[in-house]
Amino acid sequence: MNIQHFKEAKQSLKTRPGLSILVVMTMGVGIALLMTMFTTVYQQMRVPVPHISQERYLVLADARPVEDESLMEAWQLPSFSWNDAQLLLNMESPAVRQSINFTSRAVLEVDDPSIRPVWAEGSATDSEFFTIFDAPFLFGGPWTKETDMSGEAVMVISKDLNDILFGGENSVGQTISAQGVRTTIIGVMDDWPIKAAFYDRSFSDREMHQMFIPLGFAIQNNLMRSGVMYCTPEQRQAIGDVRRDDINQLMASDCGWINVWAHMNSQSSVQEYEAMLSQLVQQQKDFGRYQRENVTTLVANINDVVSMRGADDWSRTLLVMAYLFFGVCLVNTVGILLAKFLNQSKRVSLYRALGASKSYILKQYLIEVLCLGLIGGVAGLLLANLGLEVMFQVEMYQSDYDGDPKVVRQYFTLDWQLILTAVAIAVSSIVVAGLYPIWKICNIPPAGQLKS
Amino acid sequence: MLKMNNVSKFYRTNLIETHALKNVNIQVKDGEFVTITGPSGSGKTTFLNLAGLLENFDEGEYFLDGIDVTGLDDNALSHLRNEKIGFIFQSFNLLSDLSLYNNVEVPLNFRGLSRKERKERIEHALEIVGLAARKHHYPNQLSGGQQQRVAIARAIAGEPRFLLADEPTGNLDSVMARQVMELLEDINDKGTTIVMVTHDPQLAKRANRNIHILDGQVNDIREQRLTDLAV
Ligand SMILES: Nc1ncnc2c1ncn2[C@@H]1O[C@H](COP(=O)(O)OP(=O)(O)OP(=O)(O)O)[C@@H](O)[C@H]1O
Ligand SMILES: [Mg+2]
Repeated sequence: MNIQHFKEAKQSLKTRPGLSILVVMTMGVGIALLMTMFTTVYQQMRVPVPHISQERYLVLADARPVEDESLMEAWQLPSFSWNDAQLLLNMESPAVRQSINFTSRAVLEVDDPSIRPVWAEGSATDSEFFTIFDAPFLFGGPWTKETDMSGEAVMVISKDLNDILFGGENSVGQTISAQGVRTTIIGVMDDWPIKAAFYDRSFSDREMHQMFIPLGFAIQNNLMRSGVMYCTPEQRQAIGDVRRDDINQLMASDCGWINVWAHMNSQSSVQEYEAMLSQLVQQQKDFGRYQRENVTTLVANINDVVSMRGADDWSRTLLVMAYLFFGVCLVNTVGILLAKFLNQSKRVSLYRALGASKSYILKQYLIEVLCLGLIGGVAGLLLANLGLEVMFQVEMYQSDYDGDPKVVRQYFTLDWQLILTAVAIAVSSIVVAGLYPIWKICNIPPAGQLKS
Repeated sequence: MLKMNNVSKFYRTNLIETHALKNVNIQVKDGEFVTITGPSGSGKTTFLNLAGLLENFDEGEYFLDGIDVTGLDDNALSHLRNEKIGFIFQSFNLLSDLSLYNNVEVPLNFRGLSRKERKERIEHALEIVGLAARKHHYPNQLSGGQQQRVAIARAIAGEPRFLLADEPTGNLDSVMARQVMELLEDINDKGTTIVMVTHDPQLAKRANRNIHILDGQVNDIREQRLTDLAV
């Protein structure tokens, strides 16, 4: 290819500008819709912590009573009971470390009366949490292992919460009241480069946790449990309000509410861990628990959990429709290109008579088609931004504007990979759409169209 | 030299098969000016198209400047067409969106010529046809005769060995036709071989030789001017 082919392509683009614009618009709209839905699904399927996800495993085992016949995939199973989680932690484990947590909520107040109290959601967890999930700190740091169950009133808060309560100042050492209990801030987490709150299994794309407190502190002060609680009706009967009533009864029960994570760095460790989990299940069977015939267990890393979860049905349906619509746009493009090219058959015929080879014609029209694809792709990306803005607004509206716009926004944002994907799709599909029209125009017989 | 041995050409449509050329044997020597006459539908254009490598023939063999063209691929044929042959059509076939300069440039674009080389050739060719001053004009600003002269400039800009003209004066009045004919004769005098289809007996007579085609067959070759021509 040389400059001459580009000149010819430019000339051809200009000869029927209406048709060129039509091709760009058709491709643009198709690409825009496709990329809007593709981005939505893709961002949902994004692994929340790519740099460690390979080695962080969610652990689950099906302790539900036999009567519970609801169909569940392994990743949907209830979390562990407090006692089972403790058993797991105390077994001889191949894991580098393990961490457990449950989701809690508390009203937080600072001494400064001008700052309104905050209803904060967070994790009650152990000191391993910050290590296992590689949490970055802006000020201070995590608590120690001894503090996990000691009941000491300390707290790590998120950068967002620190901005709200302390105007972004270093708040380490300050006190804050949580449900009326004086608590000392020992660390402020920096913005955590994660895509979703995966650690409590919610994979929430609306907001991240704002506070992190030691398990012992949450238990001693009977802080609220706000995550998913799996309790049978009988258990609920016995405990009362599983979220607010006596936490000691909840801890003694078989309710599932404790999330267990393990850090493992080899496949053999995973196998050993699975064996250990089966052993636990077998032992518990002797006590009449884990009554199901085949007890489902899961030891899956974050990548696998994300792909097991998949994207939500609504987005997936829209994506399929976007693909179909794109197909229609392509068929349309074939028609427009054909009309556009055959319009120039007289010129091509003359070119051929004057000595242009088929490959000369081919290159010229290929370049033209590639240019149209490229422009169509760019137009599509601009429109996709509009589409994603609409999707973002819809999502915010659906959550009653409860979500953190910063967090929700990232689910409706194009990144470089998506932009390159869009361009690649635009260019490759327009080449496919252009095959027949280009083949047609290349086979125009020389001088065939020149009869007077 | 242009040499056809027993060349035949059929056109097949759904219902009929037209035998457009039947066992044609023709030789055109270097430097000749040959006119071709014959009634409408006799195969004159078909012959010119075969000679100019615009169409394939079905039987026989054809040597263009000593090259056997049978079996050459599209690239080779296009290359030969571009290098060795200049076409002049009855209906000029200029591109209306290009200036005269750019129209003449078209066949040169298919070769790897530098911008400077192209410029020299274009200006030289326009000089020869007497339209150098109007190179920035567009075809629709010219008379028919002038347009045909631009087409001639386009045909000779690549300095081909052969000019093939299909009724180049067919759309022109007699004065303009004579001018075009004189121009072609000048070009022929400088060594370019010319094959011209014409309906005009006056013009046909002016050539070295006239070939008459009837029903796809070369019926009668009358040597009109017996000039010594190198083979
Ligand atoms: N593309 C084609 N398909 C089918 N038949 C064709 C085709 N081109 C020419 N023919 C037929 O071949 C025969 C010769 O046609 P050709 O155009 O060579 O005649 P011609 O001598 O140039 O006539 P004219 O003086 O009218 O230009 C005619 O019968 C014509 O109908
Ligand atoms: Mg004809």
